[in-house]
Amino acid sequence: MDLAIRRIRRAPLRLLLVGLPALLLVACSSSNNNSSSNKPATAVKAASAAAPASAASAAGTAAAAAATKAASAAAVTTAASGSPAAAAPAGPTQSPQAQVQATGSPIKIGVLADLTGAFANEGNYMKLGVDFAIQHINATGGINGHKVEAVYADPKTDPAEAVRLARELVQQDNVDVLVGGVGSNECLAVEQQAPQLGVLYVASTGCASDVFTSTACNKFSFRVEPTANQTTDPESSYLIKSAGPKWGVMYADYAFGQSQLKAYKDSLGKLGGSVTVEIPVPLNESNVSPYVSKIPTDGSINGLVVAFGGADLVRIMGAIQQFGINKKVAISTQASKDFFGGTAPDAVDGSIGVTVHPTDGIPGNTYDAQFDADWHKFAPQERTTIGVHGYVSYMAISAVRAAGDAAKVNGKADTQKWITAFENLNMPQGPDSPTGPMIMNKNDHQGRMNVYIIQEHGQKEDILQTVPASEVPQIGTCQAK
Amino acid sequence: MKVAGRRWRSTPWWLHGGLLALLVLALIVVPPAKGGIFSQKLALYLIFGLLGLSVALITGYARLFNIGVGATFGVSAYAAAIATQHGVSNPVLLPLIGIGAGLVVSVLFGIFAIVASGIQYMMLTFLTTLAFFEVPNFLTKLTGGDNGLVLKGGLHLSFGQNPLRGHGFYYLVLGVTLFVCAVCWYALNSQFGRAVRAIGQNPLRAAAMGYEVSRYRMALTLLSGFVAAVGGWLLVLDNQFVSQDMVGLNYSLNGLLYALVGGVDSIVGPLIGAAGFRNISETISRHSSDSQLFIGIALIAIVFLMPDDGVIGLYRRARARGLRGLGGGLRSYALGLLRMTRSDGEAIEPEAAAGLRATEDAHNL
Repeated sequence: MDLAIRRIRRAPLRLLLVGLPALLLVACSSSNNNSSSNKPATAVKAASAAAPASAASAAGTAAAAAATKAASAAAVTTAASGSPAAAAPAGPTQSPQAQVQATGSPIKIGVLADLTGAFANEGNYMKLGVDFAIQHINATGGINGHKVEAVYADPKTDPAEAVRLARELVQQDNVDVLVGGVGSNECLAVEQQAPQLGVLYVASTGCASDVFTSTACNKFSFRVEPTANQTTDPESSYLIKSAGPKWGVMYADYAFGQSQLKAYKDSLGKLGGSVTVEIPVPLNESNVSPYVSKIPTDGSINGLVVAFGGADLVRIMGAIQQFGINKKVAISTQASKDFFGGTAPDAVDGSIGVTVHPTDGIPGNTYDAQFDADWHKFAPQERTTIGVHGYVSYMAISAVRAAGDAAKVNGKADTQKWITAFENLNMPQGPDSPTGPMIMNKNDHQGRMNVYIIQEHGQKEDILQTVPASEVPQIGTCQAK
Repeated sequence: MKVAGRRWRSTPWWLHGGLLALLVLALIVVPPAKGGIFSQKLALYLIFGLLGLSVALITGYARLFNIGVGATFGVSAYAAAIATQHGVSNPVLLPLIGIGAGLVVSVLFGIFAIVASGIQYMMLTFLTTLAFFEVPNFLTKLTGGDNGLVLKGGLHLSFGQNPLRGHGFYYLVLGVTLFVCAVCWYALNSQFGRAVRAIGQNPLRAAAMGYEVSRYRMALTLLSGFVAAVGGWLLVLDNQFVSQDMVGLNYSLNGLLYALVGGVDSIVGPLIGAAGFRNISETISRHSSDSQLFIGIALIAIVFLMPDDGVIGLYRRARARGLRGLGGGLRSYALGLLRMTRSDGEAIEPEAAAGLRATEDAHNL
């Protein structure tokens, strides 16, 4: 044995022992990359290289797209005059089919998608949503006639890296718009850079902290997805009605979770309820049993709000099911079925949630039905639903397009016009905004979309109430300047 | 001193000085000539080079494995950001506040260096850094918690230099870095530096010779903390933002990597290590989503194939052979690597190689 160890210390053998596993790892990594539906981030991603089949399917929505573009322009004008416009009519407008291919110099969108790290799931959905949106946009005329391309960068959930990559995307890759970041700290860091970089920045998937628009808003940064009290206010009335006024909140102990705790405390308090138990859990905590065992089942709370994302949510809900807590206490999550990979665990049966994109579709909404059909043709087989993460990033790109069309932009040089159009954006329901309208609030650059209160029954997700975008509350009083 | 049958020669001081002067001249002239965002990247490399240098001081010279340098780095950044949130806008006062906060943290690590060594010291610094990482979560109102904190006050805080435009901010960072390197060089080439090296190699022998080991260790820890704190202040000026990650283990371990790759017992080495390693990481990240895998493989290869004293070690070997150049140095290293394993399978102890460094000229950088 001693002799064997001595022999291993010979240099050439050392090199072989290091090099061979390294080569094997590289080979395995390469083959995984080739088979994966999520391609490695490249310097320039030509999303316009869409297959003819998917372009043809997009043509099915082009009729409504042409009408939508006209309606968007009208909506921007209407909103600019004062009060937010009412939502456009629900049905598709009858007009001849038209497939307008984008031409002209490309408009580049820099996307900070966390493809690795703690938010890899959300980041991968973001990428899919962006690719899907760009394919649709390029098949229906692009942005003011310009083809759209995405340039991806992976900040790996590191805010300093997000800042560095944002700068590189703008100053080296010359992108015209910045989108993305998943973690709230990444988004807040990039938000501070946007005015100095002089570029429009739109948060999409994630970026859930209310601070982004409630206190840290600025002229160049926007968020399309409602968050914090904008979703907890509508949901809270149902929580009190369904289970009672006393609630506990179990939350991830970082920006998003703390923001959710504050939002539920405010929302429940306004409606006569209260948060009597608070259980913080460290982010990415692998052993959640000590925290789950703190949930009281003696009747001191009527229900429990579980405010987590990603793998943490799956872990916590699994433990709740294992402990049988879901049978004794009402459970509420902000998650829909897609948070669990499309299959909801038993622990969420009967739980009330809130979302901007119901997993099982919206009855009577033909735009959403067409959107889902197009998604199934575009998406990899394992991604049966675009999920709320993918949908929000789709909406972010759609909003960039709608504002760009309204302002007739040609690139970064028109950023000021783009911002003005974005501030006054009122996207009616249509292929670019299938679930319902998206209304941008001029003061704090926070968007409002339809909010759906949902309830899980087995594997079925029922919509209990739809809160129209125009009735979603404001997030704060920040003045973007 | 003979190693593998070779005799090492010392090198004239003017060659050292000339090479350094060339390097500084290149740092001054090349970035504006190259244009683009090259100077921004270089500024960031220099800032992280300071982090690596602070690790190199404590690890390379005092032979203390400090995994807490990132805490000093991040605390300085936080102190500066918090000060601006409370109305401090003086660009001279701000670094003093950051450096002061960093030195307070360094005193703690200095106490660890006095009461512990080896594995115990390493564990103390490791656990302390973990604790520092949680502090922003406890002081959410002061630190912004996981949201991080914005630096308020605009460009005035960086003496009017915009990190995103022109080259002024780069020259600010370069000037500060050169100043810090000069301070370190002076300290390490003085009696203090010789004493620190002696203590690092054998603290018992140094104590027997009359050196107060605890005092020297505390002083070197403070010097290391000073360097890390300056880096933290510069980083927050660059990013205009500070986040919890900056006080975490990641930054400490990254600093250790830069020092190991560049040369743990030199001043210029960690700066080169930071620039090289970060450049490689950034290049790989742009072309692959599995960048961490490839970076890890590159790191394994570097650690296995580089001399004990990193990139700077290649330079030392090449220099010791006069004008034969780097190629001769590489060849000599490779032959030495093979010859270092004797026929019975036993390798020569590392001290034999370390002895080579002990005979080097004191002006060695």
